[in-house]
Amino acid sequence: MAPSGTWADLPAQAIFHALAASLFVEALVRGWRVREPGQRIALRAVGLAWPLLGFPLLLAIFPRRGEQDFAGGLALLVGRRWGDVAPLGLPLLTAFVVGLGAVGTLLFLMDLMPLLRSRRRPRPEPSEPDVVSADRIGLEVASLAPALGIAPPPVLFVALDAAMLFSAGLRRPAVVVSRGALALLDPAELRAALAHELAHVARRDPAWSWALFAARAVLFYNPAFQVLSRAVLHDFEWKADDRAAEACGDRVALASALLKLFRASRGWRWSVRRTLPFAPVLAEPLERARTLDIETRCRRLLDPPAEPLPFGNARVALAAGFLTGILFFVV
Amino acid sequence: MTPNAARVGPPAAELARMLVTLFWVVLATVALLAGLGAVPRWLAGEAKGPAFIASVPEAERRLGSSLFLPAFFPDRLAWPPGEIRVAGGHGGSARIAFQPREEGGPPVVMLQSVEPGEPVAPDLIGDRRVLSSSRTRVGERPAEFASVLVDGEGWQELSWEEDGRRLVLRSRGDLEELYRMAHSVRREGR
Repeated sequence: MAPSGTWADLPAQAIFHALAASLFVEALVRGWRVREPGQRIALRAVGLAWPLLGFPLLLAIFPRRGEQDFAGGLALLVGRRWGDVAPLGLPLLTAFVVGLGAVGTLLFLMDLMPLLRSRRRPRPEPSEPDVVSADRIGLEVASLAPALGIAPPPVLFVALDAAMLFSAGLRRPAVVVSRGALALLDPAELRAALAHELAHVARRDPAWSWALFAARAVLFYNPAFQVLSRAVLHDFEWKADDRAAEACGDRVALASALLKLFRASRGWRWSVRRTLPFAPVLAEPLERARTLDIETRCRRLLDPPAEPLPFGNARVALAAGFLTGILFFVV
Repeated sequence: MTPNAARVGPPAAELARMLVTLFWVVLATVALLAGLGAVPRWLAGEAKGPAFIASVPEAERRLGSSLFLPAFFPDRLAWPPGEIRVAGGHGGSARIAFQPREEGGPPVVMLQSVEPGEPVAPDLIGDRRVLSSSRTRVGERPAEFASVLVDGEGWQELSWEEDGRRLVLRSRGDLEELYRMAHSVRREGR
């Protein structure tokens, strides 16, 4: 007999599967004490791939999992049974979907709205740097790019006093440097910061970030996916930090550059974040989270790089295998 | 040396540590999921005894299995069933009482366990005393026909097994109707 379900059954399963997958991989990342960012990304990718691929495939390949015989016998957890519990007349399954769906949507909007707002603002026009600046940037990029295994990418100079240094672009990523960043950073810091951006270019992080953002848009209602995506973006930064430090040979200079750029950027970023819904409530925790993130990165850079754990591929395979095995029994 | 580098030991030790950690994480995840799966049943009070259920699909959901129902349904009985009770949650038993449309007519009660080989929950059977019994058949299947007293009231009772599941059909009315209903019993969707 087909299960007697409600509209909330499928979204609840999708949300719960992502939640369980995220908690499972995070428990492994912490339990195994995985510190090398590449390995963290690989393990977390398992958690991200589950709601995107694993769960839909499970539904397509094993459609009878949802039927009574399986749900009544082998299933570890049957989400729709939470629909039988209705304190104050509201089934908990519906409350679960609506509540967590709202949290997921809010998390997605927190990143989407500043992005849309920034797209509406006029973009700073690239300009020709002065000779000294051009030499300074050109020499560093030319020496760092081969160390990172790439051809020197285009460097766009922006004649603004705001300290900006970032990489952007899908097909042909470029490094953007502002006049303010050049004035702010000493030579060692500039070299380290440029190495960081070149590391992003070498790893095609801008393209991966957009792909991840597109996936977040598809699963906008899924809070676990939103949180795990953000964690992976932090890992991208850690990985770029490690590769940059390796290329430029000065971890402390990179930490110093990060700190200076963060402090300098607080003013203009603040104005963007205030456009968020519930901005007054969220502003302080967000600011704290950003500060903590930079602090963590700087602390990492004061230590030597973390070594990858042995059996890296086996760990990822085991995580994926056991996750599939467990979630097969969650309907 | 980083804390990470200091921790990495010989491959065998690291392999053992990896597997032990994985074991605990898997165990904790399974326990958490099983616990979350059990909470709704606990909240619904299924552990405390038979629960009154609003509909057959709801009973099937609680029991985790489709139920046997008579395909032959005399006009004198009302649908949906007047009373549905389940005991034992998933894999438990159900009692479905069909009430007559007209007041005073004899009701029909169907009892069944959904787990093959398991008896019907005593809470649903009631205080039953057999007055007489004889062997009979329901279709090709061996069955037992009995006159019983249930909570002091006299009933005619047919009991047999379908797919290994125990079925009991009780009536206080026409025997032919009881047999026709028993012959027509089937599982929805099978």
